[in-house]
Amino acid sequence: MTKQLQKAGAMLLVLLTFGITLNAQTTIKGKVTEPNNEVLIGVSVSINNTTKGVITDVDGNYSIQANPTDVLVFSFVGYESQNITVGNQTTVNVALAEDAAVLEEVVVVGYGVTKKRDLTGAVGQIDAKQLEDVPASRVDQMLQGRAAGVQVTGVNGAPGARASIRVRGGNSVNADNEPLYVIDGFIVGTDFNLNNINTNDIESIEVLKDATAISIYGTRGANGVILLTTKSGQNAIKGQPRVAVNFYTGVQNLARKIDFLDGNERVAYGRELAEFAGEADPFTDPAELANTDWQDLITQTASIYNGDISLSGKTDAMNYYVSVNYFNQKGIIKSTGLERYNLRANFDFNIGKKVKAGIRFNGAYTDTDNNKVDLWGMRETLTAFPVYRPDGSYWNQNTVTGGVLRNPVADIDLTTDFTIGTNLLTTAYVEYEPIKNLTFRSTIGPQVSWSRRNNFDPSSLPVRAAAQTGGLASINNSLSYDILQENTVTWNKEFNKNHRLNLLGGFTWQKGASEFFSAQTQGISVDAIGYDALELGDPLTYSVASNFNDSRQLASWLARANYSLMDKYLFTLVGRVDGASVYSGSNNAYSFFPSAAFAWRITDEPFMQNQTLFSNLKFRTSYGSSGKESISPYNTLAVLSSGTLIFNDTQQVGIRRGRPSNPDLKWETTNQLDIGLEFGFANNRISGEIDYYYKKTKDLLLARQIPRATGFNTKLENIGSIQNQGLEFTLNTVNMNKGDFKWETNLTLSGNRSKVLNIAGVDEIIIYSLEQGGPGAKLIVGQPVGVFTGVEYLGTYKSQAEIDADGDLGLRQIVGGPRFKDENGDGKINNDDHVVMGNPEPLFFGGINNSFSYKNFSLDVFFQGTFGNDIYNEYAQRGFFGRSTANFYGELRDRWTPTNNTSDIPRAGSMVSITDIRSNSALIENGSHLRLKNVRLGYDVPVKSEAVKSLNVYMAGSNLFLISKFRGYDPEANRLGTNSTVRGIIRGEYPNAKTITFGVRANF
Amino acid sequence: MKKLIILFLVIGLTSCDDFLKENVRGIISPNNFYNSDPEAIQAANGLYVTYRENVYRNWEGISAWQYFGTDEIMPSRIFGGLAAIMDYNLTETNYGNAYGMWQDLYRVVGDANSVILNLQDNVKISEAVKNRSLGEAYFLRALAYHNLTSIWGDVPFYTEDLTLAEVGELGRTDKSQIRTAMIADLKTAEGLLPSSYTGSNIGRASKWAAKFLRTRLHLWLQEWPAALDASKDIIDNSPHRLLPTYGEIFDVNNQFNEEAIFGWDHLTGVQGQAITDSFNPRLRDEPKNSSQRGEFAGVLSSRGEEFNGFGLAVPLNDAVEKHPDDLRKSWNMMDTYLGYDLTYTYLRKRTNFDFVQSPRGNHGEWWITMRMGQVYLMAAEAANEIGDPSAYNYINTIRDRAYEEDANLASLSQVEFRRAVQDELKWELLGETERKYDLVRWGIFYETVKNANYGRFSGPNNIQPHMQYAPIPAEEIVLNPALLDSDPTNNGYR
Repeated sequence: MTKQLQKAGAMLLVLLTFGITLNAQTTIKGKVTEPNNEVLIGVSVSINNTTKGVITDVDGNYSIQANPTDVLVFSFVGYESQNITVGNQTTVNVALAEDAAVLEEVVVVGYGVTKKRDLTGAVGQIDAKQLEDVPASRVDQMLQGRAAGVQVTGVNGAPGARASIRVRGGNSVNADNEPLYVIDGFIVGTDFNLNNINTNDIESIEVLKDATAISIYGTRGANGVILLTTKSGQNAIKGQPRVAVNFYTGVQNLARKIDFLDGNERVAYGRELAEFAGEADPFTDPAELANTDWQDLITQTASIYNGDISLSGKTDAMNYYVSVNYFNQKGIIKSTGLERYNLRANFDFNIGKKVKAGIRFNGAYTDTDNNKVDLWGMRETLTAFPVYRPDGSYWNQNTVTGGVLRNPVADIDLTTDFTIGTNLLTTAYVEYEPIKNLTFRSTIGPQVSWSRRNNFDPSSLPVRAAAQTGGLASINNSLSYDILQENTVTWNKEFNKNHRLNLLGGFTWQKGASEFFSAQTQGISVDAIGYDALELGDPLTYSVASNFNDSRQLASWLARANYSLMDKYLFTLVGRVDGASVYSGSNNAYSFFPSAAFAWRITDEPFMQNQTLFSNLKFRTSYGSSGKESISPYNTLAVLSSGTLIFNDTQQVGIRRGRPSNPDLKWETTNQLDIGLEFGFANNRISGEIDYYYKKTKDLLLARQIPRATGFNTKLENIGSIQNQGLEFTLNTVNMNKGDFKWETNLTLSGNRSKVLNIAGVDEIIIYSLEQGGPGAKLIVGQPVGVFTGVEYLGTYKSQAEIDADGDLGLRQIVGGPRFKDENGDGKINNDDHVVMGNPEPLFFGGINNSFSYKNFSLDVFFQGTFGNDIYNEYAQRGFFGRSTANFYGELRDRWTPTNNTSDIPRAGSMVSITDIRSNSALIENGSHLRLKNVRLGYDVPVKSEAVKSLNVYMAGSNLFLISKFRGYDPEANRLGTNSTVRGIIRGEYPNAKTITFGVRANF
Repeated sequence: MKKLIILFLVIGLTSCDDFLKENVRGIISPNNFYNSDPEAIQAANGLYVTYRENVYRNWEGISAWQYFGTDEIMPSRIFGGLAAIMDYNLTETNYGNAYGMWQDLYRVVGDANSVILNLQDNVKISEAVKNRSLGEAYFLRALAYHNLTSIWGDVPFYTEDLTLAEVGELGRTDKSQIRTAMIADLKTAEGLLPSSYTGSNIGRASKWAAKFLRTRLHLWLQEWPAALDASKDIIDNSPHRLLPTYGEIFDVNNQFNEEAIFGWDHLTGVQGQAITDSFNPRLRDEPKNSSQRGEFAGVLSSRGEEFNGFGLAVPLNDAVEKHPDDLRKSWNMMDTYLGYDLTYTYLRKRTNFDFVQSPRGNHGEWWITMRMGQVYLMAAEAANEIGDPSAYNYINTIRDRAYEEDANLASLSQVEFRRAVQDELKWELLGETERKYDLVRWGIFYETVKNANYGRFSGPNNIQPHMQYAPIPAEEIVLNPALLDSDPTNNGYR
């Protein structure tokens, strides 16, 4: 920790050398308030036509040097500015009136910014303020529950793990369903590593959802677009550089522990099992038994630390925002974590009256300590096994299977596995405004990402020592690069009071690729060398690989027209033509995606002027299409593939047909209808939006079965269709605003209903199968995407009569053992009996944030949850049904025994072969949950200091409690990560932490 | 300025097709291959890859159609994956392995067609390499059709580079017609392939491997003189010979010995094989006295050994009961180990317990599919069918090696001799190769299974005569209904 503080201190020094200078004239003092005498903090007080300015402190007071002829300008977001000439006053108190047009908020959209009142599409805005101080490394983890229609699920709980996001449901089967990320205009794709962005640099987050908002991104917009805009010096006070500092530190703990049978209980179960099954007692030697809590041994209380320092300011010639960040999160599983150094430099220059230019630079270095153990990998590490042998060496025998045991403590202690990465993301732009309201803008930016993963399993690792294979070292290197160049022209024209036109046109191109290289060897005898001298390994085990991946070029033309009639009727037309290299081998290289929208500002109609109920009412609707590139490079071309063969113990390369050419491939297209209503009551104290959407995706790329006499089994064709529809609801209320007390609530609530319409003409496609036990998830025509399937678990057989009644079902049937339903009544239990048992899609999901402030205190409480979704708990196949080699859930204490013969938990020894336990309803769990996701309690420390403008201390908590019936760590995880269709399958992913942090924010 | 922009857009438009052309790197396209000797060799190698990776590497693989479901091998316990075979309740849909095997073998066919087409008149390839590679392609394609016709009987047959759509409409061709065509191809291959290899080419198909396969096809067609000629040629003129003793054939350190003609090599650490695992016992079954398990594991461990296999390929009860008391028995039947009695009897010659050199799932042992022992017995069979007295020489050479005392056969009737060859092949090659094909070929498949002791498996109760051939998988028929044109019953399964 001291080391971290030293680093932060050094950064602070660097920034402070920028310095601040002040002049001395007459001192003017005063207080700035609202009309009701509430003090206003942070109001800009500047002298007109100069660079001088200050901001008001926590009591609303300011102090500024000025001449009597100077004009003081008081300005604050959401209030009308006031100009006051100093004259001979020394005290100037001001009451600022609230800006009538709160609707003048702006919204960032693709290739531009628009006033919220002019917006015709559905765009979710997330207040970056609410995300401040959330202890997380990446912004996607913070979006959960914050925007309607945006479902965010953590992939797992590891530091730096990504979240999987669905904007209005998933459109595709084979292609990615994650949204497109655009950072300061740079299209970084769907799998950009957001650990490279300092969350504190983010000014605003917009989620583009409806057709007109996303079709400007053409073939990449269909999954929704998340626009991240970073801070700039635009709103800074001229001549007053501001240094902002934010430090926090805290602790994380395992949020929940899974109840397993302990060592003694496991031994008792094992003996019961062996006795019943007529097998030998696997636990004969008491010296080989222990009672080990492996979960305790692999987890820890872990620290989290974050330090941010930024400098921002503005002059006539330029404005700037520069920040440095250090972030260090240790994982709650030992030997995991993420460390980040980040630098951002945003500059905007005014070059003469007609030309502007600037850059957005972000550089990040991350070091991720990768996870070495997980619950699934430890499923055969029984609680009955000891950690060490009597001589202190690691225990490495699996006495049940007779094999070598992978000892997780040894894995944590001995193996090395980390990834270091660097990312540079830069955009430079120039804007030229030859005549008023006509702007040409050109941008160019490279993105370069480099990463290297080093892995070493030393020869002393029990599994390697047993096999005498020496150390295993591997290095994986990858380099990816991306260049984006965009040219746009915009023209704003106000013909008269009734006609406003805004036109945008542009041409852009982007190209990128990645290159990968890996090397591996075994047989390293000197453990100290690790991965740093692969040449010392056994040459017979050398293994190298390299490839060139994901090479893509895109060329696009885009256009948008916004037309406002009488400020009440708003029309938008959008179109984009994309050409993509991946389709250049097909007959469909170019594709056009148009859309249109209309909005009606009802409250601006004359007939609404006499009512007082609605302060805002806007109806909007849009329809249009967007696309998905979907295929990988070279998918349209014929390729040969390589394989390995052995002649006389020598490895050789063979080349065979990989894939035939496929010139008929085309883009996946999503057509979307949106109908929305924006409303505000009681002078917008209650405001919100409600949206209905309907999306239909056609030409889904699916692998069609072809006769295998061809040597192939499938061919990719555009032959599928999926629909999504749903409702989204956002509500913002000011519940109380009296005296010193203010209470505001933001609520988002959404529900999506997906439906498979056509999947290559077949009735169903298996998308997930258990290792043994048949299909667990499928796409079925007429059903939601990715439903869980299996046979129905009927509890245990209570008597021989029940077994006789069922007849021989082709699997083990014993009293006290599991009983499954022969769904189709054919006398056999097999894949044909698998029926739909669960749906990973929630009925609804959302979040609610309550903000309270009282005098100097502020409190934010944010809950998030889902309702009505199911989870597929793959671990239960072993943990509940009693696979002889696995650890079992604690509930098996209440298992069926001759004396406890009403229990529906199978008896010990009922499972002989895991293939008898098919995917079944006992693996399906309720995924509904409510989580206290974030709490922040802050206190503004009153400071009377020239140097310190404001000081806030806070305490924040994350994941403080969770209401969920799930047997595993957390109902929120995805075994297959961001997989497009397989959702909600969990088998022992990295658990989530409960985090408490303390921090301080200060402005200088 | 507007002109500038328009100009820019025009430039953008016209140069776009070039810009969007794919940067083809890291892939091999058929358009830029087959240009040199090394590339021709790699193309031929590609045909071995499919066999090695899928057909002759994993334990179930093709063995499910070769020695399971016969009178030789069974799993030690009820195993769902093999139920369709061991219980003979095989249907068009209940055995996934069938469809995978169908695809793998046809993949070799398609790849071989493409290799032959691309090498045949290719002037960029040297004569020597072209000949050898073409010979390998003819041989490996014939091997695919040999397996396809042996498992399914009549199958789609193509030797040209057809489009996917064309292949997808092919009906079934008579198996004898396919075999005759493959015999012609193998004769060509024999003329192209070298007699033997050295160094890192050992393991490629030689002219003797082609001749071995041709002998098998002649036997299928009951072309006895041709079969005798070919097998006699191997015995008299090839560098291969019988090893003096049976056990040394299976020395894991010298597997590709003089007796071996062809097989599939594997290498620990490079996608090693898992066939050995199916023959290796698992500790939880052994030893018979389970209270000695810990002690036994310790003894194994002190020898660098483990019982960490699957125990899923052990001699069938029938074979255990009937095995003659010869010198082969100790290599075929292992019911004790290191003085411990075992629960099951294992096929010792294909096991390897050394968990360091030959770890679980990553074994390096060859799978020898053609060896001299079989050549002598094929010669004996063919000679007997045409009344050639050399038949006795061939079978007695094998029996000389197999028995300690004199066990020579003499004065058998043709029928008795036929029976003797059938039994001799079983004990000589138990669990090594294509027993099922032979039973079908002899026309005794049904009666053999019907009368065999299958222990806990119900194969003998359920076996039907039509089950000598497998059904073409239902999925394939849905995709290509022409497969029912010549036989609407799909080998009797519908």
